[in-house]
Amino acid sequence: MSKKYVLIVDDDPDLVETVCMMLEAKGYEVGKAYDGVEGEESIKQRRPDLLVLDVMMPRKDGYKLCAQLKADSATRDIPVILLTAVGEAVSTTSYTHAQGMSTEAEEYIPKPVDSKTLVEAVESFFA
Amino acid sequence: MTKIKLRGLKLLERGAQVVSSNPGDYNFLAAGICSPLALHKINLTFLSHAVLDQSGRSITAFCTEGSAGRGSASLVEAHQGGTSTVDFHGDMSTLSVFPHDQRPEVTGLLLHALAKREIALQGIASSPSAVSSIVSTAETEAAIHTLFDAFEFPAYHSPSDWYAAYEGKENLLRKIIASYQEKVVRIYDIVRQSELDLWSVVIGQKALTKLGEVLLALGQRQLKMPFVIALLSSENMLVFNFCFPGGHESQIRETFASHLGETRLARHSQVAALYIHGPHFGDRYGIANTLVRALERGGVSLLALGCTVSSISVIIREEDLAAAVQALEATFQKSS
Repeated sequence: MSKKYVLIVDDDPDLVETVCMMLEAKGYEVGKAYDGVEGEESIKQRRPDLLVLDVMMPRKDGYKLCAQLKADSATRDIPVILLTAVGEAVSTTSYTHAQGMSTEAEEYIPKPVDSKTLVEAVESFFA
Repeated sequence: MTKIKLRGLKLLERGAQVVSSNPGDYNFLAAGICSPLALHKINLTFLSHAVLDQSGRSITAFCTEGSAGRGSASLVEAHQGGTSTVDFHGDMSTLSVFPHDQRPEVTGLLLHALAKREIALQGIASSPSAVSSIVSTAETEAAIHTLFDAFEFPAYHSPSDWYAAYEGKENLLRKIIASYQEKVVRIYDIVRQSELDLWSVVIGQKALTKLGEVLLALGQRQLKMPFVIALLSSENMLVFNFCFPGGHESQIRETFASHLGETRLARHSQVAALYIHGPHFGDRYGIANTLVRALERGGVSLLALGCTVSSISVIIREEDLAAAVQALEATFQKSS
């Protein structure tokens, strides 16, 4: 059986390496992109089985990209896990949880992402 | 020279750099630098530290946002009480390229590119994925152009493409992070790498091209370089620390000698590297202080430290590895 392909999109290159290691250790093939536009282009070149998407990124943030994918019938079915450091601890932000949920992402996980939580979330989409 | 394909380029503009040459008698990094800065809630956007000799003399270089620079320098001066020199450099920028994948040729080409345009290098540090260089803000545009000459960034066809994407984003990010602090700092993991050697060499700016050639040559020999820092000494020389896997001493010495001639190259064998990484480390204060204090409590001496992007990398004696991991696990909340 071919490996499932997960695309990680995050502008923190150290985090991309960390998440990549977590998922590769569990047998997934992992692609990397470092901002929303690069993520969008990567999806056009190769459709991922699942997208792990940071929220705060240059060029196109995660909320915009997610909303865009969900609005397009060609990409609407790609499951999206949003990762964000913007949680309850932050008092002022334009990146709210409510805004995140309105993008129709399948999952919304706060950072630092627990490897068990992330892997369970990823595996739940392929069960 | 063949371009190397990378994925990204990050810029932190208009910061300030402080370089402190420290005495060897106590843990100045913790007590004289990290703790006072953390107490005053000053975020370090960059930090590097190298121990120079067995007496413990060291150099520390850090960057802050521009507005916090002079205050930071004054804090360090007040704590050192005249026992070390503190140099302040205003209006400095941090340029980071990634991923380096531990390829020494990435740092080599970076040095070569900067030297080619006679851009003065003020410091370097690596994270697990990025190599960051400090240059004056006045030279940043020239530095970015030279990086585009040396490297290929598929997402951006030109420096103008890149500038168009990054204009103004940093301000947006800072606004969000200001109130994000934790009682116990959460990290993704503590990654360790052992059986390394720590090499150090002191060179002037004019030798950067040759040093770049050394690293390019070592890359061609498939050697991996998981750690690099460079700091400006009080004599305006660059103190470089590199890590390479152990067992390659003669190869490394030959390569240095063939390009740099009779340059004094020191080696500290049997060292280990530890990396910690957490969300928005680069935007929050006190993380480095938490780490250096944890290692101090664990009785672990630092040989070198680099902190950039969102990770902190430390080099310690391999015999201290277990104690260091225990100290860090007792202090940070690990998610994995």
